[in-house]
Amino acid sequence: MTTKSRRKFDANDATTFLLVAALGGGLGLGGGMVSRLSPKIATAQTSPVSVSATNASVKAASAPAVKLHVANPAPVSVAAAPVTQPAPSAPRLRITNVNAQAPIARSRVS
Amino acid sequence: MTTTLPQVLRSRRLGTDVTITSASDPRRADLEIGRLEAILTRFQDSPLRRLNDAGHLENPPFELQRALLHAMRVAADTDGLVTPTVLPALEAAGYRVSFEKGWRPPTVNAKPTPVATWQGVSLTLTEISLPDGMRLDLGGTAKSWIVEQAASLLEGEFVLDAGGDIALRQSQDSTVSISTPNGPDLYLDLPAGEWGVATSGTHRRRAPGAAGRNWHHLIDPRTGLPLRSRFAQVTAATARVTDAEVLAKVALLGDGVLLARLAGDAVMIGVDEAGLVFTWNGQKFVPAREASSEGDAA
Repeated sequence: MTTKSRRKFDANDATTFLLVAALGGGLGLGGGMVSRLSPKIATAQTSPVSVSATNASVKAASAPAVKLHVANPAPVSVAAAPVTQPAPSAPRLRITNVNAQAPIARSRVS
Repeated sequence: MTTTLPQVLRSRRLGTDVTITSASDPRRADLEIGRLEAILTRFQDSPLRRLNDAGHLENPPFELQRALLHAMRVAADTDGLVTPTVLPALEAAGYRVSFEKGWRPPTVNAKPTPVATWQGVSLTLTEISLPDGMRLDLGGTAKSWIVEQAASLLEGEFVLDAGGDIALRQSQDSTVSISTPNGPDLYLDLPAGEWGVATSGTHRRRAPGAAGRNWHHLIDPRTGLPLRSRFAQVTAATARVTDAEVLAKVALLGDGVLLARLAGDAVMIGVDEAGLVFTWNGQKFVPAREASSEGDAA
């Protein structure tokens, strides 16, 4: 008689993570949901700090003024103001469909 | 210059009417739905049924592993509120056969059926094992998962509608209507892009039965009985139909704290038995008003 050792599904178990990885992407809850089973990816790297101001000065209370100077500040681009309303980014509910386009599908309890 | 007209394919799958409208050939997606259904159904011989019958399954199909993993992930994310372990309670509610094959609610013996916690499932690459007495129904999550898998095979614009669980990709704004229990349809305007829309409810496939209550297919794992909800149905729209389906279920189950944690920027619409419409404002459901979306309702 053989005895099988049953292994529980454990989000903290390394083999489970391997299984999750082996079963591939496309699984799980995207959007705003928190994925508990996704391995955390370290994001501790810090971005380089950029100083965009030219000749900005910082004064310390009891120290000589320190002058920061950036030789070649990055050019600043100013986006043109939109001439039309931006497209909506979220679905909107309408109670009625007066003068609206025909629905492409119908969601319902099946 | 040639223009590719959208192709429309209708079929009967997943116990419902499936319609695929696609700029590319819809047949591959339709066949994929049928293939996955054959693996994940519990109403006929399938790997899932063999797993439930024996309590374990060696060398399970890759698709069963993925669908089960998805279901377990949903169970984890919803604190067990949406769980595949409801099958014993579902069968106690009469669902030993599909609705189409003559489901009838129980008229006696209305005792609650305890719902096992999902953590007991053992899933490895070579075997799936269930604790004694546990049996799985993937219906709650597998339908939208199958829709999503099939939709991934479609190129360009498409609408894949599986009985109200909808995945779509459109280059222009579009509108999806929402069927309501006792009133006129509602309308959801969707910006161009990829969307998933799912509606879940208790007002269909139900009948009065034992204990003077309505019996249907949505089990509340907290009680082991068919769900009693403030809403007759909830529709959710988000980027993925799998997420929309889960959110609609959680909203029906009425856990507002969990919903606030999970919903993100999803749009949700609840309709109660009286036909009153509510929208989710990020914290709770509030009465909807004409031409409003979530967040600006009174």
